[in-house]
Amino acid sequence: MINIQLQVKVPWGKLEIDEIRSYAEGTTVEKILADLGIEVKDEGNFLVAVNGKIEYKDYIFKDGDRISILPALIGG
Amino acid sequence: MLLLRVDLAELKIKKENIPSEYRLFSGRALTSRIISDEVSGTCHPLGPFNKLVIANGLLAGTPVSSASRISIGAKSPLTSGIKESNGGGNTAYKMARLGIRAIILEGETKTKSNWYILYINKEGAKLIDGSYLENKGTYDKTDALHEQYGKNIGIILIGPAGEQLSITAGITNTDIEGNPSRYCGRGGLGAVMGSKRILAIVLDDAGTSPVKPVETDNFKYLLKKYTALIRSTPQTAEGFPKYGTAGMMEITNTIGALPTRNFSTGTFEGAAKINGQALYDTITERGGEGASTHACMPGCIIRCSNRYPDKDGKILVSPLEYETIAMLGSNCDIDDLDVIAKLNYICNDYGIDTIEFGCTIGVLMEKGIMAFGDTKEIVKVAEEMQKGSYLGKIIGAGSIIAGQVFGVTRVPAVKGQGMPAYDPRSVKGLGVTYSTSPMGADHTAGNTVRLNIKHHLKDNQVEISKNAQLGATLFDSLGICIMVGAAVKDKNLLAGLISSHTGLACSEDILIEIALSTLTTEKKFNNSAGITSVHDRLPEFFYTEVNPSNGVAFDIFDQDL
Repeated sequence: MINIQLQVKVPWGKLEIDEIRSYAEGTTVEKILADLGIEVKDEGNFLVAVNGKIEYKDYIFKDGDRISILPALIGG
Repeated sequence: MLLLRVDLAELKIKKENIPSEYRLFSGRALTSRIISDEVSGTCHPLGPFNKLVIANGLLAGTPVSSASRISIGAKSPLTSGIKESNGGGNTAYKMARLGIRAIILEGETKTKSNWYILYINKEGAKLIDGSYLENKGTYDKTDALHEQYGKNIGIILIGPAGEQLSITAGITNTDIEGNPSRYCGRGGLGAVMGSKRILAIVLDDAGTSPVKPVETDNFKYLLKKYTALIRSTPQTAEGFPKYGTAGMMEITNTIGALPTRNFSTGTFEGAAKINGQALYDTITERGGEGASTHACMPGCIIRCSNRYPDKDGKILVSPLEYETIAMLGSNCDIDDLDVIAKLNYICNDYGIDTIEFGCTIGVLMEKGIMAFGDTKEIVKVAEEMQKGSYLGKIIGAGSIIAGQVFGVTRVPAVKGQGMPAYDPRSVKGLGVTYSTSPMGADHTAGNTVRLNIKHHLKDNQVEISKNAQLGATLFDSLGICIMVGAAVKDKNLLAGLISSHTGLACSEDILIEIALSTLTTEKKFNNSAGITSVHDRLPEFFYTEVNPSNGVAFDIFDQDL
């Protein structure tokens, strides 16, 4: 099992999480999103950062990784 | 739709038709075209040969949401190149109701002792003596004009900074409630308006009829589609209304792109105190006149703006936006929204660009003119600036000049314009935009941050920036707010709305062609002004200094561009 810190801060829907969760080895971003009920086809609407860098759905987690799921916005 | 040409030398106003080859040009496309046609690249930006062009979009005044942005263009006294700066508010809408597509201020008054108000109503336009407004802050100016002309007007105006020809002075527009806080902030256009001796443009649309489409049924049908897209896309339906642009901070702070202490790093320890959630919580807890969602222009359903109240529920400033929160917050090591709001108010009142102000303060703090995070000192300096202090004048001259005066080498600016709230090392596509946009360091000219790409790597960023710049220019050239871009990606839909409203043939290809030709026109003007591809670069330190948040430096060089 690997432990990752999951932070979800998406304003739409009821998704606000900030905690450590355990997943099986070999877990990808896609799997975690599926667990959270976020469809990968919603790709245009959010970004996934692992340890502060954008990663795609096939990224496989390592123990201690910090995953942040963020809305895709522009500021002004 | 007409063009109003104001000759300041003769104090005469002429009505003209838009030339037929420019009838699909509006917003930035029109301002840049007119500047390129009628202004020499080598003119003094504050002299008689520069012109100030104010233009709304093709769909201004219609029920199309978020399509009444106002574009203002000129040769910039800050960048010495072409500038277009657009803002929200109620002015583009009222211009459209008055049948006006563009206003051109040109020439120079015979004496420099008078100030004028350009008053426009359905009878026509005239120049009135405005000297009684001289040196008043924008809030007082607005109150006086409301007393004179009623509250149902639109006002385009400058503050004392513009009057005094400060090169970071902006031009502000009233919002729906009459607050003079929707800024066309970047590039010092306020100084150009000041050099034309015009303090305010009053748009009184009383008695005018609503703007009507040519093909009503088709327009209504397409409008339904457009509105439905905005209502069904999460960003525009929930994200922006709830957190506004401040929601951006969560993203930039996470990917190391939030400018902190003069761009020395990209993550801020105090971010949780000033981010979208903090702003939302503060506004909701304080209640009163505050509002976490607010429309700046008539009919906007995205409502990304806000009204920020003090502890007693009285409005401190409206809006409080991401750029200001970051540039005056994390960039200056300040984690107090009330202080940021107060500084925002001061900048609005004095009439300068908050982004440039925040960038310049960051530079001064780096030198130790005041300490990072010293909230008391920064407020004191800002208040003295309003009274005309010499330090205030240096700040009003922007980050490059302030850096030169005080001997600071780490000055984050491109083509003279201070960098907005995204560290280019962490959003490299935007870094390419900063480097290559004719506008200088600009976050609205082609922002790439919301794309699902690896922002910290250089791969494909040049291509991505090119596309982003084209897209931004297209929206700017239609007077449509870029927030709409998250929901409406179908350019044929936009073309259809334009065709059915104006009766002119339009298509996606035509829109792209207009955007492309605008960028080409702007680059050509810049070349004639002495700005070349040599200037398409970031400040040196971004290439050599690694951003500690993610260990990344900017590595896209001239040859790649």
